[in-house]
Amino acid sequence: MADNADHIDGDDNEDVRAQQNLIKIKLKSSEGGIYECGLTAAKMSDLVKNMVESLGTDAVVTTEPIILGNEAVTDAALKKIIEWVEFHWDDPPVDHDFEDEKDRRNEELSHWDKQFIDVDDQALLFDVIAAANYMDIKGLVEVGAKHICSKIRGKSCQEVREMLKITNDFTAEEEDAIHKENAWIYAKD
Amino acid sequence: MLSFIIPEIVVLYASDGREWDRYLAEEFSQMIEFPLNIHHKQAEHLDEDYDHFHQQIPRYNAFILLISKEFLHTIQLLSHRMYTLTESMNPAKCLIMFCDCLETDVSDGHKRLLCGYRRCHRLVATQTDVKQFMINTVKCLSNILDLNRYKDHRVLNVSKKRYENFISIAPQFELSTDTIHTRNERIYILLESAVSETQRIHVSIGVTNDLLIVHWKNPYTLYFTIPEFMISYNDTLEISLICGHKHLGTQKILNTRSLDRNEFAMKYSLYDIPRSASLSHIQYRDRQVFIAFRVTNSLDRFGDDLCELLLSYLSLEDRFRCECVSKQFQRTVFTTITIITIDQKLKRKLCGPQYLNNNFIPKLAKKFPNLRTIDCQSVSIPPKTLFAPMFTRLNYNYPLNIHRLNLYHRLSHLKLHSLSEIFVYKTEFLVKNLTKIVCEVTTGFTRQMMSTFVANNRRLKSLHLKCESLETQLIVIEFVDQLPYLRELSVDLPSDQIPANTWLKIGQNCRQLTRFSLISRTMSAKTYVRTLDSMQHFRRLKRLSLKTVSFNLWRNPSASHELSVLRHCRRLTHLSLFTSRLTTDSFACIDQYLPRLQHLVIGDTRNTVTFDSFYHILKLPALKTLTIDGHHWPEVFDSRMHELAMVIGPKLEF
Repeated sequence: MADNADHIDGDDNEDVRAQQNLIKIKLKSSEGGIYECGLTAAKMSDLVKNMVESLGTDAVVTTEPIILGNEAVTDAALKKIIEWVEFHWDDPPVDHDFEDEKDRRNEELSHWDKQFIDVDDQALLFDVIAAANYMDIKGLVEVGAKHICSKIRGKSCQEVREMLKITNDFTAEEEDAIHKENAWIYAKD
Repeated sequence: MLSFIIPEIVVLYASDGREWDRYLAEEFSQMIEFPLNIHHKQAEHLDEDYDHFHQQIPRYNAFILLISKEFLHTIQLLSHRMYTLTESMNPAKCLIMFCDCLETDVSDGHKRLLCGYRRCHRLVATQTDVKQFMINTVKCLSNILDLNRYKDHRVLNVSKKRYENFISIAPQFELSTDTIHTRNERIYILLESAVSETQRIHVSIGVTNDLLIVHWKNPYTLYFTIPEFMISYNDTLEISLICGHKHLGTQKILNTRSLDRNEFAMKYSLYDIPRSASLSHIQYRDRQVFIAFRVTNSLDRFGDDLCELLLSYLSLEDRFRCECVSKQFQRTVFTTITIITIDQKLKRKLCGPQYLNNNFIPKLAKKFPNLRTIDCQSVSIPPKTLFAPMFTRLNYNYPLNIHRLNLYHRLSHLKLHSLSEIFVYKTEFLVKNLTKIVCEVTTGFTRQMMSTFVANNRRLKSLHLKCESLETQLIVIEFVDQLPYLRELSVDLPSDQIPANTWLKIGQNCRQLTRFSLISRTMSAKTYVRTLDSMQHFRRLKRLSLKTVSFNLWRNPSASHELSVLRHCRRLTHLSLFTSRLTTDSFACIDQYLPRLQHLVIGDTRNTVTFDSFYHILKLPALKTLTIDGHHWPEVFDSRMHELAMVIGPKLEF
């Protein structure tokens, strides 16, 4: 009996989530742009979720837009983020079962996510990641991280630096020392 | 966002103390790493807006009175104002500085008008030892503000070294007499090459050749404030950056209204802004143009914590390769490793062709500060090692060194060739409190052994057993329901002879079971349907896989079955079925029974899954992947694929 009750709750929740997503709330970027987003989708951001919960849903819907003050939340980044949460809000919740963590980390990105995150403008990509991190959208940060790691894969230090525009703050000697220390990992099988 | 109280400070000065006011503001921003909100008020103009100013008094955290000759004169002129003002000030919050005058210049008459004069902090500004004076000022101010109470590690930092660097280069009293209105509005300058904190870059505005001091924010970002008076009188500001004698570039800023990013980029060529920088904000607020640039397309912009998170998805080899990209990478690339899996390939790299020895551990431990766990995959474990407790997962293909298990008391995951081995080598008491075990159960395994194993491993969460014979199968099946914490059960059985109430008992006792996989090497269609039916006892199941290898027993066509029996397992996300008798009707209403199903695998050797079944299957609301095994794709399907494509939701990967 208890089990049955659980099931009904679960389905109700899904309906409630779908209904709540019809409610639109406004999000304001640091550049001042205001964008609409479904409530359930927006709540994928822990930051927004906490704000909505502390303010109460009614207040959020009727009053001022939620201001996302971090400078990474540019208009373009916020648009991208809303696109992502609107696509993913109805994803099933993460199965917190044991040993899933490692599987999930190794799991390839879905086709949609790959297309979504593969943007030419690296500044925008980093804005999206930094903004997602600021807004605490774990799934999206993970997508960004996986994308960056897939780009790093197999590249040399210099290539990584050039690609990600990283300043090399090592001296040549320091770099050589690290190379020497790690030589064993590059050894051929 | 971090919020903390920004101390509000009022500086009251007279016309001949203006230089000092400006100098103090400049010095405070250099020496105090805590943001201060400084309000400047000229004593001569005390009459203007006095009431408002007076009301605000309780809000301020500190007052600095720059007593100069002109100031003393003003005290006499505006005696009433000065008295009421100082009366409402808390003398303990007040710092009086004598600039170009001495304490003896202050007459009793002045002291009477300056309420609480004797209880104020007093300092004499000297131009001969300005360094000590500033240090004293800052210390005094920090006492007044009681900055420690902000519990912020950025509190006041009077670093002598830093101060010396500053004093040697900073223009001291050669400041022009223009007022500086310190606001939060700042102009940021970004540089292509990093500059150190001690390198000084100046900005000149327009034709006045006034040099503005530029503040150092990070190696790539400097900022400065345009004095308000310049903005209000010029339509276009020409801003030049100068470092030493080198002219870095000039940029014009139009002083009209708010510009957006694109408009700005179009109007003004950003030739002196480095490639890696992009414009972040342009705002026209309170008669000030606020422009910020930042490096946005460089990974350098991320702090260590985000960098660490991003890099945590790299493989071990990539991590080593990336270590020397930058110091930030070196700091962050290895910290997320808590678990390391040693497989054959890594073993060869660590120890060459020899057996795994102890030499590699320090090699790894040095790099990975947070390493807690080592997994061994098909690698023999090192003989005696201090690091044995680090190993929690072992994967044995080498029965020979199983007797060393006593060293590895933290073991939680074990993969063995045969469960009997632990009894053969008398290590059954060492194999305890496991969370996961993967092994075969060979002939000769007794009820006694199984009972001992189960008793020692009551908290087992994951059990993967492959039984060799019917005899062992019955033993294993009998004991499964004594493992109450079991979450994952995978059994590979040679026969379909299973006592009638087995699944019921397991369902009742293993309440946490979420994954169940059954492979039966021979199984009749009838038993298959019965087994499927008994899944109703596993209501919390999330993943279910039922497979059989032999199909010769499946000839009976009457044994077609309904998937509706799965309606009790509404939490299923993964379902794998091997079947030959699924009719279109079997799939009817599947979307109502299994609302959470994400991955469906159908082993269909006889092409019984019809095209129409797809319509039912594709109604599943959460479906992500669908695999049909062994299907000879009929030609008719090709022509109807586009129909199917219409039905497939965007999320489904086919």
